Amino acid sequence: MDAQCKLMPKLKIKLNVMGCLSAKPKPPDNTRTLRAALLIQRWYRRYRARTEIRRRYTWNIFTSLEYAGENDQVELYNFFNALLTHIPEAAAAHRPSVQRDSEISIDFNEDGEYRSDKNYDGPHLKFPLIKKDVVTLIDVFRKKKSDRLLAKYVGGILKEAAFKLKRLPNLNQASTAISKQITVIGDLHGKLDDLLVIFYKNGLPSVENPYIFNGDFVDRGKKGLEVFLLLLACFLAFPGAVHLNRGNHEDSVMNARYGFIREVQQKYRRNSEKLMLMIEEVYRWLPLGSIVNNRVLIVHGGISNTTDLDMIRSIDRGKYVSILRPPIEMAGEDGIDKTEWKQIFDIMWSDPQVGEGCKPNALRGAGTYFGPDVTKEFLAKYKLKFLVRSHECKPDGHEFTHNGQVITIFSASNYYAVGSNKGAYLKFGPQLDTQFVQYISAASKTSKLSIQQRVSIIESSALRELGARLRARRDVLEAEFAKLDPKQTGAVTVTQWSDTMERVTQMSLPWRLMRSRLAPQFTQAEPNLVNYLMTLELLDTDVIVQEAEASTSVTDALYKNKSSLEAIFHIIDKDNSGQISLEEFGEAIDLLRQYMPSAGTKAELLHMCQMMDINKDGFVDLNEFLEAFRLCDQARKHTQTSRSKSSRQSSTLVAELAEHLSIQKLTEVESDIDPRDHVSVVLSEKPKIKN
Amino acid sequence: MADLPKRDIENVEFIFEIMGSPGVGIDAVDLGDALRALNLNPTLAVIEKMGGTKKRNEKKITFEEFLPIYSQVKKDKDQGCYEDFIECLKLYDKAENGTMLLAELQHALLSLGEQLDDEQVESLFADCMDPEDDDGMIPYSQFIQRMMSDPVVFD
Repeated sequence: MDAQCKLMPKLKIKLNVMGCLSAKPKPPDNTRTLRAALLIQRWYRRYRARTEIRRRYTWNIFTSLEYAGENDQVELYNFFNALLTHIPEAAAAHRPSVQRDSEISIDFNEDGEYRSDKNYDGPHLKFPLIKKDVVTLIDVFRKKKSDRLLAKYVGGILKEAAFKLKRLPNLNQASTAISKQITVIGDLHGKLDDLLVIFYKNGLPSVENPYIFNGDFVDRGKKGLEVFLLLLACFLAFPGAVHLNRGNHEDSVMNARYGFIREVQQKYRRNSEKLMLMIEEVYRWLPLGSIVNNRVLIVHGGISNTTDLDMIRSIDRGKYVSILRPPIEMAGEDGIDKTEWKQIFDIMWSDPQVGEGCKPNALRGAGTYFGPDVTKEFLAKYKLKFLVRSHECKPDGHEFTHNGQVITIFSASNYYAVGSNKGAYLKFGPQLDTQFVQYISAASKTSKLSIQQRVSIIESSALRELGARLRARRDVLEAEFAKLDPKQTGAVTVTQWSDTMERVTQMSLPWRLMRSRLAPQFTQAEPNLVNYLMTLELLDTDVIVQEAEASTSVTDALYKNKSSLEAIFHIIDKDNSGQISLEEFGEAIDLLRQYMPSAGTKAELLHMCQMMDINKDGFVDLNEFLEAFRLCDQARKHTQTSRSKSSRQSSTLVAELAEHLSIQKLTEVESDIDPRDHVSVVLSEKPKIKN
Repeated sequence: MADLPKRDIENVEFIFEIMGSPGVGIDAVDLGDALRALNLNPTLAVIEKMGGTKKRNEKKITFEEFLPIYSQVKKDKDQGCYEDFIECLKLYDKAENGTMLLAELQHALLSLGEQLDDEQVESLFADCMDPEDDDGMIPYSQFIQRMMSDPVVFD
């Protein structure tokens, strides 16, 4: 370097003479320039690689959160299952209090459902629906200021659809014989903008342009109802051109947790209960899968080593109003056929795995992980070429696995957060050659951002969600930390902190990496210690409280799903007296605690039962039961808010951490959906096979 | 590896979880990115010497094979620091006022050394660079600072 430094003055003169004359830039000195270029290139690659790691671990956080949430739901299912197994007399004697009336009338209370200050100027629908109606609906749904569709038209679509769906077999038969092609759409999860991009790019359904929609139309996204109604309208208006498969989210127990019920309640305040009943009617009659050209099986989740297409074809699918809640109504007649039930569970919930074999899907709590050997055997047995499924979000919207035999197709772009992933749809040609169209909708929101900014936004979104889940377990966290810190110094080691977080959340995440976002160091002098009190304080800051309130817990879901509560009540009420005694409740509690350890201690739950006995007659009837859950829910929210108020004077360090989690929140200004606002690319060659 | 601190080994485990498949390890094409994720800064030449490939699915590197590579690359002290950058970029600073011609830097990155491609240069500038002024000049010290700012903090 020294020798070169002496050269500098000479170089400068040279530069001044040359620089002004030539329009084209010339490097002043080869060695130095080379060194500069190399240095920058190295550092850039490093920067890129580390940003990529950040993106990937953020992805891990999102998927972990999602599956952990589903796991909770399935715990509910396991609880029901356990109750039934241990109290079989109850199952036999049970008579549903909610009459499943297939002749639900469509008299709706339309007052105040739409703007009360002016008359309804939305569309009026007549059945049977035709293409013009679909076009009208698209136009109405995509605009922000449209009047809501009258409840009676929503009900009309649901009723017509249920009626027509009932006639279909369990597995849709589709073919490219006439159309020479068919398009497969994966999870949409209420993303109306993605559905409109698809129709914009690929055209509306018709006999020449058939579609298969592979489930998960609702939950998580804000326009689940619009997506669902639009798909059903297409199903009605284009007979034979639209095939619908049921997904694991076409289930009211899932909807209670993941937002669809709340969406329906918000949009149709007075009529939501009735509409949900009608939606459940549609769910139970949705086919379980589709087969194309007798060569491709399309189901929402996957398969297991016991999947039997003949059994699946013969099931009376209408029994399963909810897949997570056992069809107790039928218990007395045929008994619950667990083999049959497992068949349905497996095709709705399973995920492919890299390794061979087949094992229960512990992550989600339902369905299986199935290996390439299972796929190979299955496809050979039924002479199939591909298994197409959805159920898992992929960064590129699609993925080949199991040596190209399994295709995952996921059509909701920006699923976890704006910019988190692309969506895709799959087109089969007449020889079943594959083509993928990949897209991101509302592209204008992210196109001006740098990679770093995009990753930051997604990362803070993930951490906020994680914060909400942590907040739900705040009491347990506090207790666990206190155990490790008997002298109450306020600090634990990084390892203790990480282990505790993992243990309490039951999420295997890179806690050490996230430590800097969730807890500051205790002091500069002791970088190995973590101030856990600040972690707890962070959970009480506004940004996390708001996130937590927006999400729902298992107890929330239980409460909101009134029919589930009723079902539980009737099961516990063994002698069918219409009342539960403390003793009966005690038995049920033992079972409940096995399957939902977060539900509380036995003493707490018994106390809850005593609290439920509002008129103090020693028994709890159905109304008290329901009321108690509502009160519990309110009480819990109250303690959370009051706690957050008292820590308003959170320290600056905590404020900084909270600031970081909220700075990146993109203000979601709702505007009209413009399907032209997207970026897309068509992939013709077979993508690299990932194993 | 007896000479690697426990913390380092944990970090390698984490990277392997994110980038690799269990039981198999990482693809050799990702060797460079794995090392960079672990706070190292090898040149492409070094990566190739250590067994990195240019195409996917050619070779896998297991956890046990990776540790000595990591250990070796870690020993290379010539990482480059802020002052080195400034020294080099002063070459382009004709007016000696802390700014340089963007086009010159772009040309260097695209055609010299271990060349970047158009997309990479574009994203580098989008992420780290202020927009050029009317004369095509940009302030380079902020550029370097931003590029060196760490998107990921390992304990």
